Amino acid sequence: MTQQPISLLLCALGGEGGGVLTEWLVEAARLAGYPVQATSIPGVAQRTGATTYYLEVFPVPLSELGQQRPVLGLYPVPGRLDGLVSSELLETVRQISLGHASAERTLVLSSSARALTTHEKMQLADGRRDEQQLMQMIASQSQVHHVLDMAELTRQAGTVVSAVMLGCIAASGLLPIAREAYRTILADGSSAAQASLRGFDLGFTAIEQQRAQARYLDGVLRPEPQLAEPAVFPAPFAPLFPPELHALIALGYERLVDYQSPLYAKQYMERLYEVHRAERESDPRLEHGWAITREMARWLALWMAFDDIVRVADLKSRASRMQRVRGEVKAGSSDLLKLYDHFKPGVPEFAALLPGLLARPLLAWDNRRKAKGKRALALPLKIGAHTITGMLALRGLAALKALRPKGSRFATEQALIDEWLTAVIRLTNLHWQSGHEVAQCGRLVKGYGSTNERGKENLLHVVRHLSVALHFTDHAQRAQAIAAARQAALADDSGKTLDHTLQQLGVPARPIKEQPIRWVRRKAAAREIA
Amino acid sequence: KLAQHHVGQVHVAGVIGCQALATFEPFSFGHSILGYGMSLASRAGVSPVMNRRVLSVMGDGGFWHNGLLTGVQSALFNGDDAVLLIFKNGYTSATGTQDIISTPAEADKDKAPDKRKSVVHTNQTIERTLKGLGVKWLRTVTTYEVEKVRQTLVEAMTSDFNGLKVIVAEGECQLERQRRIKPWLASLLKRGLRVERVKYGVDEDVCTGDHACIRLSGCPTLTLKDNPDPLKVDPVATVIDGCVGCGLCGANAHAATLCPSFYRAEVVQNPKWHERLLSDLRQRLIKRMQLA
Repeated sequence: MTQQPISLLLCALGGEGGGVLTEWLVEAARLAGYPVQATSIPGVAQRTGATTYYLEVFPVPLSELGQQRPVLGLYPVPGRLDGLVSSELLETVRQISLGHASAERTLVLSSSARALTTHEKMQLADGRRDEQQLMQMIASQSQVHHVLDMAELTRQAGTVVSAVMLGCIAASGLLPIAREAYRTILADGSSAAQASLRGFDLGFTAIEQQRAQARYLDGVLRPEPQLAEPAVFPAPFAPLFPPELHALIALGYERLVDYQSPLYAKQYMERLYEVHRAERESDPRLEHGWAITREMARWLALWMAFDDIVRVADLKSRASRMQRVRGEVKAGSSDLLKLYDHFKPGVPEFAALLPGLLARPLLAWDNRRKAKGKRALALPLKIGAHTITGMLALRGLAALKALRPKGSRFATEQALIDEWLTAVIRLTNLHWQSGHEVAQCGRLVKGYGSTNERGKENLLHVVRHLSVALHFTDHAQRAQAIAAARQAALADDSGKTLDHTLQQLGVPARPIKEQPIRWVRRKAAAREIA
Repeated sequence: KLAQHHVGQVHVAGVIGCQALATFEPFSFGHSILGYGMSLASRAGVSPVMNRRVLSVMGDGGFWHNGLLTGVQSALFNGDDAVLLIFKNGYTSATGTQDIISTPAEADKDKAPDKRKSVVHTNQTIERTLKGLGVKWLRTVTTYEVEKVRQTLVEAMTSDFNGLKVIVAEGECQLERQRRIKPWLASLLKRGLRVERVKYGVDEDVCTGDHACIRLSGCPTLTLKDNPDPLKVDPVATVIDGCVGCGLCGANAHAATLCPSFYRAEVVQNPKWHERLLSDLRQRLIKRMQLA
């Protein structure tokens, strides 16, 4: 007898009902009269791999086997898998990379939904995997594949993803079991069973539709996300910038009007125009499609609209925010919402709003305290945005907007922005690529408190050392060095990679910071052995 | 992780158990792992070559299995200068959350007026055992109060007291807590009674996409989404539906003075009439103060 069993590997994350799915499949196979066997291997999804369930069904009914019984396997044999079903895209690819799937015989049913891994989430910038790569891997390592958003179908049906997965398996025709047999297993009359059946049907229909038309193409050809409601470009500046950049620049302009005033936004336009003029001279034949101006339009606007307590209070006290939160926490129309915000402004945050004359001694005092190893002073606040006093406090803080330009932080930020801007313009004039690289360094500046300080420090280190260093043989080498430093700055938040890279590039590492050392006394007498 | 900024790098002795998951990113905590409840005993081999005190970690399962006798008893007998952190979640085994001697009694679970609160403090067996054995330095903290835990850890690492220092971190196993409160909340809703539900979230326009919160938390529901702001490119943090409202992410951001993006939302279903009245009044006044 040469008949082989049909082998099926299921992967699910914790709480997704992989075990239940396996039981359903075993029951359905039994009901249809086929020999079946299932095993499971626990895993830690998104860390070391999903929990997997392995199932073999012998496609000859027991009634035809007589006294004979098949011997079924306990573990998938690489390359001899008939079906791979997974509720998460990366887990699918992980199983494929273990060599389980083969282009000759494996049918892959995978969800396109992603549950991001910790490693992807903890990056300083954007560490998410490119989904197209994952898709291509599935396409090349499977005989047939269906990728669909099972998480969305699950939400629609109000069930658990296992039901949708069962529907997909049923529709794929992998197992010699009729649709009704699966439905019989699911139905027990309870409300949970109703939801499971809904999920099953959605999964079933989705796969049938995909079989009818190759949906995969849609995914590949998905249009680029459009900018939200296009902002109106301020007319007086229209002739200064190329029309293709108007949408982005208008966003920056609007952001700064909203952040401070039309006057401040006008300053943004003037700064940006200087960059644009430099780029026009550096790239007269427009070979790069205004890439520097584009980058600067983005990063300049974001840096000029630096986040301070005034801005945060403003954003947090808007009516649109209340609406958004209601949606996010799924509060019904008759439910009440209490909304608390935690703030912890420290001395630097208060000093930021004071004029330089007052702020400097205050900051010096705070630094002396920290140098002595004392904890930084901070004022923990819990503000209820749904209460009248809370909202008054937020609006009061937001109203300090008028004082912002007089504060010490504003002055510092403007000086640093100008320093960066000058470097971008100078390098753009010298060599387009170098200018482009320094412009992109704007990405390093973000966050609050120490995160923000660190970003600015890294950026300025590039500006003050790499952009003026004399030892580079040509401009291209400098551009590469700046790009390398920018990547390194985003590698870890302690800056070890950056310092290492800087030294390799032949410029000094960032200065070592003073840090208080604590001594703990240990009495020798107490360590005698009794 | 936060406490290390203050006292410097510390050797962490771990055990097999839920806490062993802390060796993964983003925590990367635990330099040695030995046995079930063996962390305090294994520390004896490491301590003499370390400049700082070693932090030993175990759960209450490991404590009863092994930690009490091989660890606490011998550390006391030898007068060792050690720090032990016990995560008292009230159950043993991540695979099955079996009951043990420090599991809160059923009667205490039923008696609790607010069943959503952790009830592990009602069982004091661990604390009494430690005191009975002669532990002089004993502190109890709530696991989710990050700032308090940090202060206590720093105190233990820098204290003049040279004997065994034990910190008991109380926080009921979230799996068990969810199993306990879900049916209770559902029954309240079914009867049309008042239910308050807590969820944390991130304001997408305040978040700047640095993900420092994720590097401190590792919560499975704290993840990323595309930045809704067309000017920004890095994805922002977001809290998805699985959030159980433990508050760890917010407490982390607070203790580390990270950023003001987190909010705590309390949704009151079937509110009482006076709550509704107060809320109406507030909303009317707030509308006048707000911008779009």
